[in-house]
Amino acid sequence: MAKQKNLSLSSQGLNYKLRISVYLMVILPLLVCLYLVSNYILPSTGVKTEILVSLAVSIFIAAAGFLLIKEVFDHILSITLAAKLIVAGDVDHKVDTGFKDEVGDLGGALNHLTSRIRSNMEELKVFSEKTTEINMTIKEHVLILSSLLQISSLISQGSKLDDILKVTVQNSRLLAFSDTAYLFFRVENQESFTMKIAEGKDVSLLAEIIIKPEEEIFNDYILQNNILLVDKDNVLPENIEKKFYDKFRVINTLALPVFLKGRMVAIFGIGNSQGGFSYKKTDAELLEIFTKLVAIAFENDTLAHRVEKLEIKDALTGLYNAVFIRNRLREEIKRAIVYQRPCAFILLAIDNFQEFQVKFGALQSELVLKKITALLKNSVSEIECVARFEDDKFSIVLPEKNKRQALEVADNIRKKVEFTFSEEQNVSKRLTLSGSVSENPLDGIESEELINKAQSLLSANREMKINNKIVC
Amino acid sequence: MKKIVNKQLGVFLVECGVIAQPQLDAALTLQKQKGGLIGEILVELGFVREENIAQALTAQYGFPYLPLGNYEINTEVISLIPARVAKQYLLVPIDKVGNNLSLVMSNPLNVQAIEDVEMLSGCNVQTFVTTATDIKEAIKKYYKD
Repeated sequence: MAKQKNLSLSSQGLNYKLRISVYLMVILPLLVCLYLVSNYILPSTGVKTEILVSLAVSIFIAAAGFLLIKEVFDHILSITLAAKLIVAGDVDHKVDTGFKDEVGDLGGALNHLTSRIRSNMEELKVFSEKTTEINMTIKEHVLILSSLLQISSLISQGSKLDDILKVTVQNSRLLAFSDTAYLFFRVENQESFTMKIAEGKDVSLLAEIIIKPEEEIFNDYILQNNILLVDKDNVLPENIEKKFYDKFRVINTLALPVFLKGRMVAIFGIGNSQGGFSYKKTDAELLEIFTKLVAIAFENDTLAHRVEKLEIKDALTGLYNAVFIRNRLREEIKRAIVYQRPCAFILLAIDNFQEFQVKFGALQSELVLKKITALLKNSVSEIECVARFEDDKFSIVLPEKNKRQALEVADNIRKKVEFTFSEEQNVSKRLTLSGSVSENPLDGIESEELINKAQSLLSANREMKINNKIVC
Repeated sequence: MKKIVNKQLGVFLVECGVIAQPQLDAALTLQKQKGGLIGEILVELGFVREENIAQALTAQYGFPYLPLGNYEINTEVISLIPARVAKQYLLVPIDKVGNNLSLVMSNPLNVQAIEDVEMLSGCNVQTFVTTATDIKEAIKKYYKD
């Protein structure tokens, strides 16, 4: 089988086929001629000139034919070689098109083809670059969107305003290759601004920036146009440009105001120092979203504080909270002063409650607090006001009672608590109360004086590890 | 408690014949509207004089009456009671002998004030009665802030 395959010409290259055809067309007839001449003509007639001439002419014609065939095949082979190089990836290879025949046309066609391929490849390259750029932009926007969601989540979780603002300013640096991001707060009832948060390059320098009302950059741009845009296409006047750079240490900046109920409360900006840089429309749009989130955080914080002020009850016990009791004490002292009466304040703390919480958990601790709450409510009159002052502390305002009377009330509560919990099987659950009593006017004429006095008495008691005792 | 004491003083003055019931009613109405102490309101309305109240208290309860006008008080005794307590309860300490503290006040029925002074000074308190104006002047004189 292998031999048969080797004998077949169909699978052989042109070079081989050319050699075989030359053998068949030229060499073999020549050999036949030489054989005939040497065996039949030369021995009988001797050398004749005509025969030699005819022989030479035959050889010349055969050789010419051979050269012609060779040339044709050489062209074909060179085209083949060029085609192979192009296929191998060398699209810049130029095919020789000097031939004025079909092979030349073929070369021309190949050159045209490679030129088209080259142009397509260049187009593909440009397209690929554009795709990469678009992908980068999408990635950047996804990142910014994710950071905006993070900020929204912080706001909805009720995180501290400072934490939200810090994350917002940090994340805004994802915009427009920003080296720096900054947030100015407007000084209350003034036209000046102070730096609240700065992130990125030269933070310590930025942190000290104060913008005064007479500074034209913000008067002219932010306050009037609602935007400060400085980049390649938006150049500041020369005298302002230097001042701006000295102050902000950035060449380009984009800053927007933060409005709350129609009033500008802050300025939020980003900046970088890239030469020939210009901000895109989307940068301003995205920064505007950041400023809106800042405004929401401000509003949320204000509302949270307002709600906190309005809340008067402790959620767990239903008693009044510390804010309420402080106000109540203040009012009762005012009344006491006018009517020449006393007003007492009791502070009670559950002894070793933290250890109890650790040992028995939140549920048991809550039950204890509710139990003591019930005892407290049953131990005071209608005009007396009980509150949960801290986690493990309760307080009572007693209008019309002096220190001796308040001491009696506190001691009565202490005894009730001691008795109630003394029935517990587990010794660690036998809770007791300690407390302190202060009074207006004996300990002061301000609510805080009475509270401080009671707290210091209680702390002193605790430091001495005295439990189950009321002091005054 | 406060109203009870005020009512007691008012009723006490009616019972003593110092004022008439309609006068007390008028004073109580005004107290509801504007607040304040019933004794001061009665004085302001001109139904009674401070001295009458002090004298009635003396007659009824036996509190000795002590006009403070020419009385000199030792500053050491003054220092036993802080200014805020004296001003709020309208009282002035006048003398201390051993463990007994003499106290002059315009309303000796204010038992809580007396208890506070006892707690503060650690002394037994002997109460004298005088007019609110005398007390205020004495406070002004001896408690210079």
